[in-house]
Amino acid sequence: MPKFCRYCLLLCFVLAVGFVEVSAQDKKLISGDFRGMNFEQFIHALESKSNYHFYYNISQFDSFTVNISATNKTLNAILDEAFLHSDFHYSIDQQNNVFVIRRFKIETSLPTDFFARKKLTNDSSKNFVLSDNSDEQEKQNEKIKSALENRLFEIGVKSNTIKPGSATLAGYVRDLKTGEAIIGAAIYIDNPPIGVTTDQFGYYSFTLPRGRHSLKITSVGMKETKRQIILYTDGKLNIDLQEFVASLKVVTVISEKNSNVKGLQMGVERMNIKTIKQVPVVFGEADVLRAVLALPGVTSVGEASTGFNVRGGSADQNLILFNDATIYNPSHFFGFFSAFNPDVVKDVELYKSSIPEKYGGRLASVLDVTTRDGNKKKFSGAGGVGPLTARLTLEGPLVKDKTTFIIGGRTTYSDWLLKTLPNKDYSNSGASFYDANVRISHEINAKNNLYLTGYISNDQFKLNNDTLYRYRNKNANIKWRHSFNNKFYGIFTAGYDGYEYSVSSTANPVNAYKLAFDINQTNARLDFAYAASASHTIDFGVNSIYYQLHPGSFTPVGDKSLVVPDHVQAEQGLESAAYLGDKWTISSKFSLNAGIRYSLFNYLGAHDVYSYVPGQPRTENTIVDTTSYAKNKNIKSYQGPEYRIALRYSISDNASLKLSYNTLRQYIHLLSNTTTISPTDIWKLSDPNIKPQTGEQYSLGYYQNFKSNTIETSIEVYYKTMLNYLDYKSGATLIMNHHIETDVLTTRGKAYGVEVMIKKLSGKLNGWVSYTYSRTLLQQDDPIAGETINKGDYYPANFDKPHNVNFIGNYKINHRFSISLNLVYSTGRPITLPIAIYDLGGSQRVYYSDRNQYRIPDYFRTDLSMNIEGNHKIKKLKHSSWTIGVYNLTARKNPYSIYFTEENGVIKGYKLSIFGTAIPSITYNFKF
Amino acid sequence: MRFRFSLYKILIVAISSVFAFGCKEVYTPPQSNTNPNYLVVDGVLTSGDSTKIKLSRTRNLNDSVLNSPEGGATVVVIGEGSDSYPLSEEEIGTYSIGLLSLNAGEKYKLDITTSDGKHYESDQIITKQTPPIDSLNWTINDNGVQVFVNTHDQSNGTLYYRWQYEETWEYHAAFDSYYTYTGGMLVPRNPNDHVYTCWHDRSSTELVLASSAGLSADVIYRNPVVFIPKGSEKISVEYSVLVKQYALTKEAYEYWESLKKSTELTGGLFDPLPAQLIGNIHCTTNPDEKALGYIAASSITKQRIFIKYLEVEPWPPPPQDCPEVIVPPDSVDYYFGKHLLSPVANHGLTDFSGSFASCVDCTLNGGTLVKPSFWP
Repeated sequence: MPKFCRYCLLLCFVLAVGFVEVSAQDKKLISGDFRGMNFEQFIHALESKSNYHFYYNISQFDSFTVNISATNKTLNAILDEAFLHSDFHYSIDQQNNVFVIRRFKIETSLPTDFFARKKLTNDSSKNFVLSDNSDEQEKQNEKIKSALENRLFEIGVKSNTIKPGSATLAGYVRDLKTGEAIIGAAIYIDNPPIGVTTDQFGYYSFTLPRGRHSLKITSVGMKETKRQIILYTDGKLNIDLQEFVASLKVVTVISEKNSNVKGLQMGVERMNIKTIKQVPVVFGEADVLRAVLALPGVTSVGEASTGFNVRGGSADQNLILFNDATIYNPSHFFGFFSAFNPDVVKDVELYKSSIPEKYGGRLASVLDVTTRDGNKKKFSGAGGVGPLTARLTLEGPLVKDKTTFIIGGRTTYSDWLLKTLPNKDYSNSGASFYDANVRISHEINAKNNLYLTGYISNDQFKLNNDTLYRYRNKNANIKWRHSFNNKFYGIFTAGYDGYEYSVSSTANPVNAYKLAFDINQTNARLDFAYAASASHTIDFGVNSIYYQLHPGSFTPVGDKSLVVPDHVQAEQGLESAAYLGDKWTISSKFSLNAGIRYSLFNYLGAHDVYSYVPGQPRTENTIVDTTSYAKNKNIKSYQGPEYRIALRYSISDNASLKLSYNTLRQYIHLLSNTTTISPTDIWKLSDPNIKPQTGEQYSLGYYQNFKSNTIETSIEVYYKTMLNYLDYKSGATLIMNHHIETDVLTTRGKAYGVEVMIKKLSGKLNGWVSYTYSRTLLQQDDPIAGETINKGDYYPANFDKPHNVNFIGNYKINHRFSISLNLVYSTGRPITLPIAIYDLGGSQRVYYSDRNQYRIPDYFRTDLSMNIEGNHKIKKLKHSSWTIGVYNLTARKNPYSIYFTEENGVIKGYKLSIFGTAIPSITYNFKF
Repeated sequence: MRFRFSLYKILIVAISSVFAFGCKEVYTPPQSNTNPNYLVVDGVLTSGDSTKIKLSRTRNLNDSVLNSPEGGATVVVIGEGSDSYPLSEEEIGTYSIGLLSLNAGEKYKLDITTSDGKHYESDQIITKQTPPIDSLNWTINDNGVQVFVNTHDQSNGTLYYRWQYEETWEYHAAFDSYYTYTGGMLVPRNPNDHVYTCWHDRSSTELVLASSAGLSADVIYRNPVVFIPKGSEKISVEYSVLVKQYALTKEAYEYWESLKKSTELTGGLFDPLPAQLIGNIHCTTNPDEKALGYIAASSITKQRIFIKYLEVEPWPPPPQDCPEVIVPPDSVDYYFGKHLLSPVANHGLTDFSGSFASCVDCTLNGGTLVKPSFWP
């Protein structure tokens, strides 16, 4: 128990507040209209109008509705009336504690140990909390919860009178059971209506008026709790939250209560791993990216696609962060699995429109995947076995409450699947992948924390024993967090991120080759957060990324190979940025988040740069000059400000209107002229001939919550433009091209859409339904391009799918069974269809229409999964569960592509479905 | 480039193999009448050999017509030095010249005037010298026979290659027929009228390309040309393939490679976006009108190999439904007269045997009875 708790004198609470006010309020009369309220609302109403505290077991009251109103009545009179025809009884003791239970009445003589400063788990409150729950742990937790909630914490240096003004309360919000930080928990008070959320370390810093407050703390998947505080001066309060176990009969509101309405950010989606695990997936493996695809505004080109598209952005315009490490290829198996181990992931946040100023470098979105820190209290583990993969995670304290670790690994045994195929070609082939994570968190002291993260993922595909294809992500970083004081802390992060792929073939000894590509980035960043006052929170920092790319090397393999080694010159670049942002609560109605980020990009030597005849299409023939630059010499700089502005207006407690404007710049581009991005696409830095991409986005949103914030609704509209987005000339060569600028074209893009979402995150039935209308149009009007796409008119992007409907629902039948259903509908993606055939080169050929003028048939898929938990006995060696699912339940043959190919001189059209049948899976998961 | 090709292949195989859940259905595109009716120019100016240029028009996608030749045009090869070689229309849409002797180092263009008066011409093209084919060889594995070509250019000047091939194979009917049913009678066949042995031929339909660019020597080693799947009729007796080699310019190679990518190597997960290819034929009358095709000029080198059934044994026979039916004399009229069966031979003293016509007459399976001149 934290030190300060020992000084929290319950006695003081009772004496100072209790007795003094009891005498004054004993006969206080209460007025109000309670009609239609459920029991909890009723109790809250009563508590807010008096200083009574109620004790009850909510499961006894879940069907109870109040149907009275009162004018200047005593509490006794109100309760008598409310419980008139029920079998509920209440008792009120001297401390204004009210105990409501069913069937019998409690005698309210004060237990002798009520004031005792004993361990809280043995706290007196156990005498009062009744529970019909058989689960011991739950009882225990309930006890802790109610005890803590009703205790008065005195914060800071106590004084007799409370000075006017504000003070800052800071601390960590953690999981009671594992001690892990809880990200994004909301801490707020009702009067004045202000609040903060915890950062990635679970840390919060909350400046609020001095005096008595009831802090409310909510977080997705955790039980809502509150803390009574008296704030004298700056001080600390750590808060432990309990996991919300929905199968138990406790009706607790777990949504990020009001945060979508009250938060400043818009276009932000947060999902914790529990939600992600509820989304049914192919092959039974919980998949972060698949869950992201179910969010409004996110689409993909097809089922086997590595990339996702956010609000009309291309796949390379997403910054994918895994514990602050940039992941260049977030998938395994050509895009069928995401490269994140679900047992390690804690939550996922997707920023679609108001991207925090501390992030930059990509135009469309930031996907922030956070892993857990590991269990601080005890050694534990988890794992699972599915049809294609197996995984194992271990975690625990290295030094209790100081140092924790989590280590996870995942691999596939899909090779056997290949072996079973009749075609001999395949049985000599093999496919495999693995990924591994490690994270160590160390608390040096109360002010300093250290985090080490490492990640590796590797994919390999072997064809006929002679062609080997592989790609790999490698990431490592170190993070040091230092709190200067309650209001001010800083984080220093340094790390390395790398991605590489290679293809080697020895099928023909004379041509035997190895093709390799890699990208390496070394980055360092300093981020500060300063809670300046109750109305201002300031973020600022600087960061820098040094890139080194080897855009391609083509080398011989074996003695007989005649391949001449060829290396495309390495590229170097330095991307730096400084940012400053302020969250400003202007009034209780208005708040503003204004940020500016200034980014600078330097393209550095050693490199040769070609110059072309001005005003002419760039081709090898229009190269007029080559300039060689020495190592680290600045070849070209690009720079510019990026604005991040978000405004919120609260219409009421449950509704708000938000407006945001963002500009972004991107200095690194993925070169891909295939429909979906492939692992062998290469990245390219901006250089004198390739300008950075820039984008801006306007968005407007309306948010409203219903039914005590258990139902969230939102509607967001956006309009977005993009400049210098890359497209490719017909027949462009992207690999091993020494002058890529001769094969690319610049295009401009515009995207707009509406996203509507209804979300219910608590209760037996939870989930969301969303509808998105979105368009993404590109225009290639580069005057010196030498050729134009669709005559320079706007044309739909490959991922332009106007209508999207997603439904994700989870129903908990009882403690052990839950069912999830996933429905996806979208318009078919645009394709280029042939409009004519002709004879050439011995066969029929097709002549294509203008780009993307047709669409493949609409996409519709239904997935179902059932989760069966083992029994919930606490003292078990391991807890296990089974997930049984069917992907594409209706076996609809959703076309992935339509293509035309020559067969014996005749053109044939085919429709290819990747998952053309229902795919059942069964996965066994365990925890210990 | 070579590796790009293999990359696609890997990806296609990877997906289709690992995920056996996929499925492929025939797709009929929506009916359209968007045919732009462009002129298509197909052929190679073959120096030192006969040259055939085919002119045709684009057709609607669902057109039932199988070809759309463009007749009545004037086709001339014009050199820089104003020397010209007119081609004559041999059959509708096919323009040829018996021997085209182009000067190495001189640039030529193809000049076309269609019957509607429109004028088209190609870019100026250089004549490439094609090195000889070093050898053709083949290997057999569980799936079939793969024929490879080997070539090189000592001077390192060719780099880009294209091959066409003509396959010919001898095959036999299931039964050698000794009778014909003529005038209500079974008449012994004239020894010259047997329909047992036939020859079939087929020209390549796919584009076979390779490049040695990026190698230290201009060497093409074991480049796959043609594949004969196991059990194919093609090697049921004897098979022969004539491989014709052409040298290409880099631009021509890139054109054919793009065409191959967009019409043959499709169907994978990572298909390139279909592109509208830009050839080297232009309509000078109306610059907005496109013309399709790419005209290149080069000499030609050829080589032929034979593969005998005995060399590929065991080679399963192609599936045939050929029962031998015994026909008693009183049923001869019924079976043979109504052409339900064709006679094969005597069976015993009075009966005859017969089988389906396609099992007896090899010409019904696409071949001819004329033995090619090169056949051993």
